[in-house]
Amino acid sequence: MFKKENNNNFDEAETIIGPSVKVEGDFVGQGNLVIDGIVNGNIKTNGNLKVGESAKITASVHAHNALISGEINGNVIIEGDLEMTTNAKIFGDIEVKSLSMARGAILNGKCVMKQNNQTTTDEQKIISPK
Amino acid sequence: MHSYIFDYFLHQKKYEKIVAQIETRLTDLGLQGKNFHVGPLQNFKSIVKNELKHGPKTIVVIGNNSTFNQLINAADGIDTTLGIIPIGTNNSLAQTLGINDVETACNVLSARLVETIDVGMINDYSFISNATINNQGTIIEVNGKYTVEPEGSGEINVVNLTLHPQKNKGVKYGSLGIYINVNKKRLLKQKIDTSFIQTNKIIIHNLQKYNFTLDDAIEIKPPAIFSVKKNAFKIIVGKNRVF
Repeated sequence: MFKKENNNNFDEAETIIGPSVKVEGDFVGQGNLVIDGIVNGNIKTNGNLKVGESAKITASVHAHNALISGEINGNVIIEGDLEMTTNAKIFGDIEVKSLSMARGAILNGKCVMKQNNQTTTDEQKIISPK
Repeated sequence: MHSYIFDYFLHQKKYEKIVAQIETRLTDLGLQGKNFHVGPLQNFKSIVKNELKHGPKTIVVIGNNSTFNQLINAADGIDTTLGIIPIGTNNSLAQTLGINDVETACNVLSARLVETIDVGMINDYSFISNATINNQGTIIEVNGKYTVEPEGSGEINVVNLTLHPQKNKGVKYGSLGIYINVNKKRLLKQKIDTSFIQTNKIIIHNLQKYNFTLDDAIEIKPPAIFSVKKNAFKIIVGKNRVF
């Protein structure tokens, strides 16, 4: 259900960074963002973020909801739901409202879960939950 | 009052008959006006400039993409309604406006359905539909905040989203869409990876001296600063327009 909702939104992506494109610098957007290429710089959007399997992001990420299948080297702040698929790799701290991780996904960093606008310090270190 | 400007290439003998047919058809529809023929002694810009002094109701060009592009650049900042009657090849602009042939064009002028459109600006030059450049050695700087570099051969197409709304559902009107197409060779067939960015200010550099082609007609040298001029022109369009 989570995946289906996200896919519907991504049909209306405002920005699509394909696998054959390299982005350098800070990206700030309002709409949905799909990344399949290489991004060296911070990403901030009020919309949803989809990171494809071939994507590699080296920077901090801030989005409303996110579906991650690629690699992120940096801290991640998601206002709503974060879904990590089996190929997802995050090397950095994350701050999310709700988290879904598939078997095989890698999260190396601190995880902070936010609830009802209050941040609980439910911190845990997760390394390759196999 | 209508003013009609016939492009220079229509002096060729093969266009004599069709030009005569257009003049007859416009008279039949009660749309006759002043006719101007671009020639060695009368260039396009001077015709438009002189004619604008008389405050024409409508200026119509008879020609192709290049002719219409010249018109919007010569008629910059005026309140007159513009139109096109397409002749010959390279008429993608007229097709976008819902005008596929001479007969349709005359009927469209008669129906006079007018739309106000944005135009894209590249440096100080206007374009209606799109600007393309080769990928190789091209770097795109978006809003001065980040750069995008294609990795592989292909083409970059900057489109005026007002005229191409169907290409992406999440478009913001009044902005430019940048399609970055990179060719990827596969075992059996070639695949094109497409990236899409929309913004209203970009700078595009090319390190290999490729030029931009505007509206499939005019060439401009990089580096180029792109922007959007909102509600720039009133244009007569057909009911089958794509926007």
